[in-house]
Amino acid sequence: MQALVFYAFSAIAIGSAVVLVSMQNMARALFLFFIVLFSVAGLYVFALADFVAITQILIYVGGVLVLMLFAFMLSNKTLLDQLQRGTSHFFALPVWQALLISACFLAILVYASLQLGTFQPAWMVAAEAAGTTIGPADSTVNHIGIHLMTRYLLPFEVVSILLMMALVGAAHLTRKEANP
Amino acid sequence: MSAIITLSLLAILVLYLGLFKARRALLPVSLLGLVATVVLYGVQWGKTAEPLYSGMVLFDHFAVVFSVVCVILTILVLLLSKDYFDKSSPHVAEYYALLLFSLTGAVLVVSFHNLAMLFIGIEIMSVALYILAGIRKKDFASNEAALKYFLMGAYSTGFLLFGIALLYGASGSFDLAAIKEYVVSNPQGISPLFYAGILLLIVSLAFKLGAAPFHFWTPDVYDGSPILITIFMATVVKTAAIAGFLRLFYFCFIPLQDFWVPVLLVMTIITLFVGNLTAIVQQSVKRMLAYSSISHAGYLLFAIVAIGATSANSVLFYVTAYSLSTIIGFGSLILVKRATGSEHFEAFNGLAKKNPYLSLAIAIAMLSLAGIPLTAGFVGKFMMFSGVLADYQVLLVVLAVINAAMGIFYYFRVIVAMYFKPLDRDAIVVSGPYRVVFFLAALITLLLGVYPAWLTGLI
Repeated sequence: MQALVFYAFSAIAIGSAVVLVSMQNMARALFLFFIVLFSVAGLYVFALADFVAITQILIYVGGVLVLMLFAFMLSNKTLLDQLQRGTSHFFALPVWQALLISACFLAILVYASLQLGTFQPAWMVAAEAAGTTIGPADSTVNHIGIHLMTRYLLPFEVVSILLMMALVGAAHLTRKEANP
Repeated sequence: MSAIITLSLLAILVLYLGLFKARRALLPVSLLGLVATVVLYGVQWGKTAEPLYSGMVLFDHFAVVFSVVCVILTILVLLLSKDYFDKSSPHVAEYYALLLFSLTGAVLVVSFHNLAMLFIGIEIMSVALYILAGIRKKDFASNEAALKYFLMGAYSTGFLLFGIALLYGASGSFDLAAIKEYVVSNPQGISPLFYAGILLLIVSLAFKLGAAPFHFWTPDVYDGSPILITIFMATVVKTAAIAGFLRLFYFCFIPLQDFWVPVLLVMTIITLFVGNLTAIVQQSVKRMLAYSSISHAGYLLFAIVAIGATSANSVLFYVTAYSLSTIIGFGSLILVKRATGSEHFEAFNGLAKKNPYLSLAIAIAMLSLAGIPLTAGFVGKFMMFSGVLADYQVLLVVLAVINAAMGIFYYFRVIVAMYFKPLDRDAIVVSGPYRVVFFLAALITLLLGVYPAWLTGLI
């Protein structure tokens, strides 16, 4: 049963992602992206990463995607038309370069995951032997909170620099300036 | 650690100064803060370094030396920026703040001891530059540079994260010491995840360094950005990228040399040829310098191909020599462009007749970039080549010498234009800060060329 649900989620995610990238119509692509993000969130729940799943829905679905929709609705129609009239051949030059890169990347990952069965990482074996694994009923949010405030305190604080810089930059780039 | 705190507080202070319209104070305050950072590093020098904050950062000699190089290069860039930005916008505080934030990221990249810090450092360094590259809002080339840099940079960040995740999957830790422990203690049973992770990390770090075949953003971004930002990218960011690259590989991956050295070897050769062959055919000095920076990334990779105890020293020397000459090259381009409106080789025609000192500085910089003896560039190349020769990579050295010859060809075009072409305009006005920067950079280039031991004993 679990395996069935897992494969269903992955099939939905991969299938809609493939349709998404081959789509010419931007609005449809955006709505397919909803489905991709939701099913990936479902996969996170299966990996016992419920915190990541919730943030995925809150930030990506709730924030980023809605922003993208707004950008789509507010943008110029003729500009979008030009975008949609891109290359339509499957083997057009930009497409096969992208295909090559993604095929290489896929090959690396598939190779790694195929080999994983014979080389199970030592720390996983040790954790299973010691019984320190996370079960479906355990709460992971506690651990994340404690680690953020203890071991990962410095990165947590330094990220604030990144966020502030992004805000300053965005404000500066969108500021109206008098014509000299 | 105090240096990182100083830098980030300095940037916030600069933002406050901008809020209160204290434009005159911006440059002096930034320079004072940077000098204070150098002093703070100097005080730390020589003490035994421990990983701080649960092993997040480690200020060993390597980190301190490269951080100080980055800070000093930023000081030189800021000196050049006097009245450079004023023309493009009335709000200049943000430029200084973003440059300082980017420097903070660079310092984190050279002193990380945990992959989480490497990631955050690289992000802070590059996000600031995405904004700075597009800071001329009405200039189409600048917009293009920012967008291109942002898209490609975000893409390479994806590779970096994937690589870090795979390393974590294999070793169970982000900490460099723990990863090293994993590599050393399992000589046979290294997980394939780990190898895939190394490959992806090479991709993303080579991207940040601008090495082929991940160099496609470099010419357009260097060409489109404001020249001052280009200087910052070509010097500080490159220094931080190669230092971070070397730190990670020297710390963790040396036992797996047989796996990744061939990959890097091929990349190095491609980088050298792509950079030099395309630089030869350029008509614009700015693009020529951009392409030649790709080939210098290739020379820098030599140190990682022949990784060992001396790698850090040769990288330090090479990157210092390269950065100082690049500052002179691009800095003089600012002046020439201001006077003639052109970035072509012809714009340098006859410069030596009216501006002998400026031409002398440019000539020294070009000789150093080409690797002519008695300049720092020669010693840098010499250290790189001898490191590789000690590793019996004779073929690489032969190819590199061919490339160095190509380099001489296009760097000498500038010198020929300055000294042997007729003059067709008035003298260029060189303001005080520019004189100071050019004088210092040329002097250090010559001194290091004659007494290299000053820098080589540091790490």
